[in-house]
Amino acid sequence: MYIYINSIDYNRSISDGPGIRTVVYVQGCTLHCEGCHNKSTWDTNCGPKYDIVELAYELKEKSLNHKITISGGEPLFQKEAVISLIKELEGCDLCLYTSNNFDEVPKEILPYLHYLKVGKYKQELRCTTIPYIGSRNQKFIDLTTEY
Amino acid sequence: MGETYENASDRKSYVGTIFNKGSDLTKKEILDSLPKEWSDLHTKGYIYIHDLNAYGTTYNCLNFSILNKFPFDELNQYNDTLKILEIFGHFRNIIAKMANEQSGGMGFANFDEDISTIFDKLHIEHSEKNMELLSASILSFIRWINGVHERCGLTSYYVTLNLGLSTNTLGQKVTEYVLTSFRMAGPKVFKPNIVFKVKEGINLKKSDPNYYLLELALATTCEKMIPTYVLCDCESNKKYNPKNLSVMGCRTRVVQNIFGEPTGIGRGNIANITINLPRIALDINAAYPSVETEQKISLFLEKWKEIAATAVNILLDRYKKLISMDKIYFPTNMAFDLWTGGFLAAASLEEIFRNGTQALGFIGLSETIEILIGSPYYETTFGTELALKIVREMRAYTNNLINIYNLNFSLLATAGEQISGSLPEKDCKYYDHPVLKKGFYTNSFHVNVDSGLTPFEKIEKEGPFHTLCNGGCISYVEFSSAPISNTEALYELICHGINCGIHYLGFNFPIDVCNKCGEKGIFDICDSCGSKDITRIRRVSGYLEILDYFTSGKKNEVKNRKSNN
Repeated sequence: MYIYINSIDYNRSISDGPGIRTVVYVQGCTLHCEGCHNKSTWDTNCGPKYDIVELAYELKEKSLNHKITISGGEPLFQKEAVISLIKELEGCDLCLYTSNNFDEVPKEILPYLHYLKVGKYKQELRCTTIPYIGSRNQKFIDLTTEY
Repeated sequence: MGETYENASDRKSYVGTIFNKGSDLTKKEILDSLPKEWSDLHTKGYIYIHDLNAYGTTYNCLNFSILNKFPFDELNQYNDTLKILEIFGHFRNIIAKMANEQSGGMGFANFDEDISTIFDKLHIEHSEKNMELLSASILSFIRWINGVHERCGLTSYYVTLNLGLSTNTLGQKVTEYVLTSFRMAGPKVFKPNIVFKVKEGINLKKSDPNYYLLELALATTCEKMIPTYVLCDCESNKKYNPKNLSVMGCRTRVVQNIFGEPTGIGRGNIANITINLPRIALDINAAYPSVETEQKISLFLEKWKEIAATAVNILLDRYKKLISMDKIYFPTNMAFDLWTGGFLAAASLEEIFRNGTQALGFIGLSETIEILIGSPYYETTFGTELALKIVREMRAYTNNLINIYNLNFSLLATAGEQISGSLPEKDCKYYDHPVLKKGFYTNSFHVNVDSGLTPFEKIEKEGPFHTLCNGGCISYVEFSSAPISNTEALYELICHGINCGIHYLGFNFPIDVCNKCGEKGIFDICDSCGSKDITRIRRVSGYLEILDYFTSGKKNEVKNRKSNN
C-alpha cells in the first residue's frame, strides 16, 4: 500500500506532542481552514508517494527516540493508508493530529497511539499558551491516562 | 533607542557616567603603561584583555565560601524571624560589597545546602511560619537581584545560584522555593542566573530523591529559559564531587587546583584574555594564499602560539601586580573569608590568589574554520576534526602552562558579549571576507546560530568541545518558541547532553511580553489586547536581558538566530 506524504521533519519538533518529535506531514486536506500553517498539504493529488512498509522502516531508522507525530494536512483523508502506517509503526511513541472529533477517529488505531489531538483549527480561537494545540476548541489527549 | 551599551545589563545614570569616564581613562592609562607589543595586540584586535580597568588591582569572579565566616554568633542572639531576615540581609550585603572588590560574577555553589546548614547552626525551627518567611525572603532576594542596577551606578549584580543536590528536607525546600518564586515572579523577573546541577542518584532518575525538583526546574525553564543545567555525570565532570562543581558569571568553571583539592568553592578566575581566532585565520589566508590546508593549519597554530605567549605574559604581569596589592583593598574578602586559603591569616595575597585561575579564551571557531577551509566546521567530518584539533592544541598549551609557571591555567570558551561585535568590526578594517558580513563572531566553539541542525545534532557537535574547555563553556539549544509544558523534550536533551560530554546546557527561545496586559508569546502586536507596547526578553552571554539594551554584535546575532526545532 502507498501513502502520499508532504514532508517529514526529523527529530526537531517540540510543539507536536511531548518530547522531541519527528513529524510526518501527510498530504491532502479538503477543510482549508483559515490561518492553516501548512497550506502546501491541501492539494490531494500530489506529494512524494511512499510504500508504507518502507516509510515505516525509514521513520524507525531516522527518528532517534521513536517519538513520531502523524500530522498533515488531514491524515485521515488517506484513512486506510494512515491506519496501515500506524500499525506498521507499532512500538513507537505515536501521536496523531486530526481535525476530526474523537468519535470520528477509527477505534482500531487507538491502541497504537500514545497521544491524539482532535478538533478542527479555528482561527478565531487561536491560542499559543496551551501546549500542543492551535485553537482553544481542540483537545490534546494522552490515551494512556485518559481513555 | 539611539544609546549604545557595553553590556546589556547596563543602564544610564549620572554615577554610571562618571564611572565610565574613569573606567575609560584607567583603561587608556593601563594600555599606555604596557609594553607596546602587548597593547598593540589588544588595540589591533588580536586579543581582548577582559576587564582591562581592573588590571592588576583586582581579580575577576568568585564562588563564595559563604559558610567560612558566616556571622553565626552575631545572628544567634536574635529570634528566628530576625535570623531569617538577617541571613538574606547578609547575602545582600556581601553581594553589594563584593561588587566593589572584584570585577566579575559571583556564585553560590550550593545555595540549597548552604541555607540548610545556616538554619541548623542558627537553630532555626522548621515551623510553618518560618518556612513562609524563608519562601518570602527568597522571593524578595530574587526580586532585589533582578531589580538593582546600582553596581558602579549602572549595572546589575551578576549572581548565580547553583542548586539541586541537597537531599535534606530544608535544602529541598530551598530549591523548591527558589524555582517556584522565580517562576511565579512573572516574565520581567529574569535574574539571577539559576543553575540546576543534574546528578544521577540525586535527581536524574524517577527513583532519585530530588527527581521532583528536576521536574520543577524543567517546568520553570519551559517558561523562563532559566534555570540552565550543569551535567555532573558528563565526561569532564563525573570524576568530581558534584557539590564542588558550580558555575559563576555566564559560564566560568573552576575545578582543578594545583594548590588544593579540586573545587570551585572559594575560588574564581583571576583574569581572562580572549584570542581572536578569525583574525589569525584571515592573516594566514592573506599571507599564504596558495598553501595546502594542512600547512595552513600548522601556520595558524604557530601564529596562535605566538599570540598566546604574549597573552600569557600579560596574564602573568597582571597576576604579579594583583598579588602585590595591599590586603586593605579586599575588606569584605578579609572579613568573611570568601576565598579559600584563609584571607586574614595569609602572609601575602599570593597565598590566596594562587588558588584562582588564569584563563585563555577564544571566539569564532566556526568562522575560523570557514576562513581556512571554506565551510563551517560542523558541515564536514574534516572540518569537525580540524576544529577539535585546534581546540585540543589550545588545551594542551594551557595545560603545559600549569607546569611551566606553577599556576592554574584553563581554556575558556568565550561568549564575548562586547567583542562578538567589536572584533569583526576591527577585522573589517584589514580584510574583506564573507564571514565578516553578518556583523558578529560566533560564541566560542558554537555552531553558527543559523546552522539548522536539530537539537540532538547540535549537542553531538558541541559536546566534545566541553571536555576540552575546562575553564568553562555552555551549549544552547535554540527553540523557535517557548516549549510550553514540554519538560520531556528538555529532559531528553539533558540525557543526550550527558552522553555527548556536555558540561553545561541551556535552552533559548524568544519571550515577548505585553507591557499593557502581561501576555507572553512572540508578537509585535499583543495577541490578547492588541497593544504594541512590547518588551522583548532574550538571552545574551549567559543571562537574560531586554533586547533594546543588547550590544551591536549580539543584536546582529539575535537577528541571525535560527531555531534548532
